[in-house]
Amino acid sequence: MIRRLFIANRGEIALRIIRTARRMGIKSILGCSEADVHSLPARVADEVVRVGPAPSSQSYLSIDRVIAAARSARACAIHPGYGFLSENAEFAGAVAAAGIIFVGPDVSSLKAMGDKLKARAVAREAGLPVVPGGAGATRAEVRARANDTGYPLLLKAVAGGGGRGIKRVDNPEQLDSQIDLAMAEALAAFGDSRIYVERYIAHGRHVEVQLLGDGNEAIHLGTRDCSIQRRFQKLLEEAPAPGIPDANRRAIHSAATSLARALRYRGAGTVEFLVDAQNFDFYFLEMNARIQVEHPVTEEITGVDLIEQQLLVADGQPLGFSQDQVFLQGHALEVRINAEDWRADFRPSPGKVSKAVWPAGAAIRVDSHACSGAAVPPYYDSLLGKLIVSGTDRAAAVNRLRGALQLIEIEGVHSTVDLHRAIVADPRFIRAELTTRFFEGLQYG
Amino acid sequence: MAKEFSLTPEDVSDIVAIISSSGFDQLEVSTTRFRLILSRKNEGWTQEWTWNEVSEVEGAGTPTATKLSSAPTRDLDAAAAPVEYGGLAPVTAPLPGTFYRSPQPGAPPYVTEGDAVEEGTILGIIETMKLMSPVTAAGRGTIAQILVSNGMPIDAETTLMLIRPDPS
Repeated sequence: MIRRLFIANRGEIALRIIRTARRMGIKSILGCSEADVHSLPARVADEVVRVGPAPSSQSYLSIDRVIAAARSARACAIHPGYGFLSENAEFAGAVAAAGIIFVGPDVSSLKAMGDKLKARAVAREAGLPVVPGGAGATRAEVRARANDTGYPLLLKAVAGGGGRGIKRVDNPEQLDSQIDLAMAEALAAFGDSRIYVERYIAHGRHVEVQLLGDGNEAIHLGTRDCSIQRRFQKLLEEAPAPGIPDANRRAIHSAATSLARALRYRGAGTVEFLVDAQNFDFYFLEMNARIQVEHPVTEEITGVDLIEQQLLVADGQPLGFSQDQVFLQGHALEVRINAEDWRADFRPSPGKVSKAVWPAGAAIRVDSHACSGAAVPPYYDSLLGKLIVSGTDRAAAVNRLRGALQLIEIEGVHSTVDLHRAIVADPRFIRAELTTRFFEGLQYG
Repeated sequence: MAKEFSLTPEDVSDIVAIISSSGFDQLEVSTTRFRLILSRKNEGWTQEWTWNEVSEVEGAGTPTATKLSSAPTRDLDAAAAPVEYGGLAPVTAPLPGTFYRSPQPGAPPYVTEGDAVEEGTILGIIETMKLMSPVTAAGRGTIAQILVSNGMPIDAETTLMLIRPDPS
């Protein structure tokens, strides 16, 4: 079994990985930047290694520095978390070449799914329907493709994922400036400025399926609905996706596992679909070949520790259970609390958290590195923490979430707590009327 | 060295379950490393964690602990004190991050010294927490001086450029 695990990430996910490693008796080594040496994960990890200066490009995104740090710490495995290098095939290959286990899928899966255009092609070959659209190598080609696809449309990063580098374009006049911004964000987030066009589907739901594979077998752990988003950043997620008829749900599960089997997928992964809110037709969007931010809601309804499963598969073990041993019980909701001033167009609010009070108790889970006194550096994403609640059914979970949100106090930086209080009070949310346009119709301050 | 005492989220849930049925409204756990306060509130409980500074000297005996000084209250909406620039209008950064002069590497900069600008002209981009925010001119004028270089990390309120306003 893996004995020394290097965590090449930060914030709440680093803390999350350390927790499971500790439970499994695995030594955790946090590889962090200068800006994170006093962070909560750094205090809790068994060992800390400085990877580089604060800017991501010189630390969390630097393949050479991360691997050098892991080697100096005599790590046997590296967990890349989400974002950063987690889906970088070159990184995974370099880790393996250094004789270290990469906690994630094979390089072949990363290559197939990391390029979002290639992923569409692979999914189509595996029999999945995909969203109409396509790529352009130059700005002129992207414009031509946009013309074919029609408006409104989305510009997405080819090397992207996680909702970053996506711009919605409603008319041709907006196209050029949105292409520029999309390419700049793509470059900053993924080191690759290539983009592609995709039709914007008006009444869609973002429904995804959590998968586990060991290279031979692949099983699913149910769906999640992540429709409540602002500018393609998920705000609230729930498991299972509510209100989908059984036959359609089974078809979505089946499509996801087909893709995992076609890839001979190893580890944890998620297949994302756009589902028509009315007739439940579904289209492949992308596959995230890593652990996701919203993984806790699946953990709460299945009782499976997904980080543990990742480590076991990475260690070369076959899946310890079969599909018919997976039971989904109850309902779980997660809200992402960000350091943003939502009243000022969600302007990021880095700084220092002077006070962080979170709820505690039965069926309440808090995955957060933001404690009282924690720094929120401006170099990384704005996630302060995740509040996850569960209940015997959706109504019970919603009720619990409402009460739990009232208990959060974050001071010193702006936070989006009030926004979530507004979402939970929204009649459409209570009735589970979820589409990706939910946020546009939200009444808030 | 004995493994340092710590509490897992499961421990916290168990503790809350135990004290819920007691008459107590608050429990504080303090060690040299951290302080946890569990408080009864409304129908539920809250948790507040504070972690103490520990000296990082390798091989030290009992680590000394000094509490993190409480952060000075930041008035998040306080306006910056005005600075004189001899009649030139400063362009200040609305938020901290990394300043870029061009839309992408290799592309020509949005503006250079001497360029004419008007209200809404994009002058540069600030990357903060993975978000790209454009910096725009507030009115008509000419770029008199650019004070920051491409890729430079900047704080909020940093003066990025000086614009000579057009006589109105």
